[in-house]
Amino acid sequence: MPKPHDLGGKPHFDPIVLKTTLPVDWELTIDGISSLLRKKGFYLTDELRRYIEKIDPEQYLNMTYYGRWCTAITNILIEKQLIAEDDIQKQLDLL
Amino acid sequence: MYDNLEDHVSHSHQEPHFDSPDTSSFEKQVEGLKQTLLSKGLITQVELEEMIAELDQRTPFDGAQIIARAWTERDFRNRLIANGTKAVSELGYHPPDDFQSLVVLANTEFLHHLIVCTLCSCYPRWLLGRPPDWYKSIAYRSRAVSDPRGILNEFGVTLDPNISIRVVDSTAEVRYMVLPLRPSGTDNLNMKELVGLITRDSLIGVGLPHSPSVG
Amino acid sequence: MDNLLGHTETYSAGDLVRVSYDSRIMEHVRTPLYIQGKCGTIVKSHGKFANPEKLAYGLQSSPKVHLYMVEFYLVNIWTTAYANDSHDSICLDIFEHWLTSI
Repeated sequence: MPKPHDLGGKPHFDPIVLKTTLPVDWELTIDGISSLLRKKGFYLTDELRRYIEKIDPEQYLNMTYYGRWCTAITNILIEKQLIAEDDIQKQLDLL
Repeated sequence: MYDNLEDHVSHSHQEPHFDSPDTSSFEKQVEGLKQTLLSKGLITQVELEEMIAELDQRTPFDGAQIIARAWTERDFRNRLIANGTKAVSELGYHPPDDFQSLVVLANTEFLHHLIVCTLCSCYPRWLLGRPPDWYKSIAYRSRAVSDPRGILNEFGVTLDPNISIRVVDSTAEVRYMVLPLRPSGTDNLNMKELVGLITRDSLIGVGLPHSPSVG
Repeated sequence: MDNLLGHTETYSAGDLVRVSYDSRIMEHVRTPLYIQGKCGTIVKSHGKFANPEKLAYGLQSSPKVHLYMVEFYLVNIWTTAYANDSHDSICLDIFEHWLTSI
């Protein structure tokens, strides 16, 4: 069963949307977090890729690029026991 | 401000099925993650701001400067094609990790290069900045390898059938950038004017450099 | 053939190779499905790189592997969609352990 990320040659015939938008604040934040955590040695690029590829196929196709990053980074940090799901929930409750 | 990026800051009203969705929920999710990382001391606010600023620095303007130089200096062009990583380091551009390297693909009268990353969205960020939305889209990643001429048509480029296309799928830690053909009628232009002709899209291979305006 | 760094490469430019199939047991590979089983030509060697299949599990000290740029004619990949006289091609970077001589 091919994984959702392995897209080459797949019949996704939506037109290319030529207009691009500049990343908004939360996208800049997760983009920065991703590079920073890698630079600090918390994970390797291919580890992050593996966690992106583990995202449920349907979810993968319906998530934006930075949405996938947020999901994968959260999962990798939880699995490495650097953070716990409760920690994030606590912070979310404070927002 | 560099105005040839075709990177307009406006929201698209055309929302294809596979590349639309989610956003509001992740806004909160990312904030929760960030606050968690800060409270655990895994990162600091200053470190994060510095990293975002560093990532903000690179734009296609950087890539365009490299290409304009290759157009005007034969020796630099040769070095750029022979060893991209080494040649751009002369100009102060270095990959974020020492294992990443750069290969520059020279278009010719008979060969046009087009770059994609079908497996994720690998992109020479340290030369061009963050990738445009379409480069990361399901549609581009799916079709660039099976219908490159169709993709080019969507970008408004029709190549002569005598020009072969060579698609390059970035599957490893080698990053690719296209060296487009220098447009004719540009012999008298200076570096700044040449840089102004080079679009981001022409460095990825979905576009061609602008022609100099007449008169 | 030995390059300047003294690494012994199995393939050099112009060699014909076939890409292996993946049993899909491995969780993270950088060889896309569409190219598996296809035949192509070595364009150049990129030198040695860490194996992403090991890096994906945080294993940084595993031996480095030769990485090659390999070119395939699109007509050989998308057999029905492409005209026989097309010279359009695709290049991918493929690690040595995915390649066999033909």
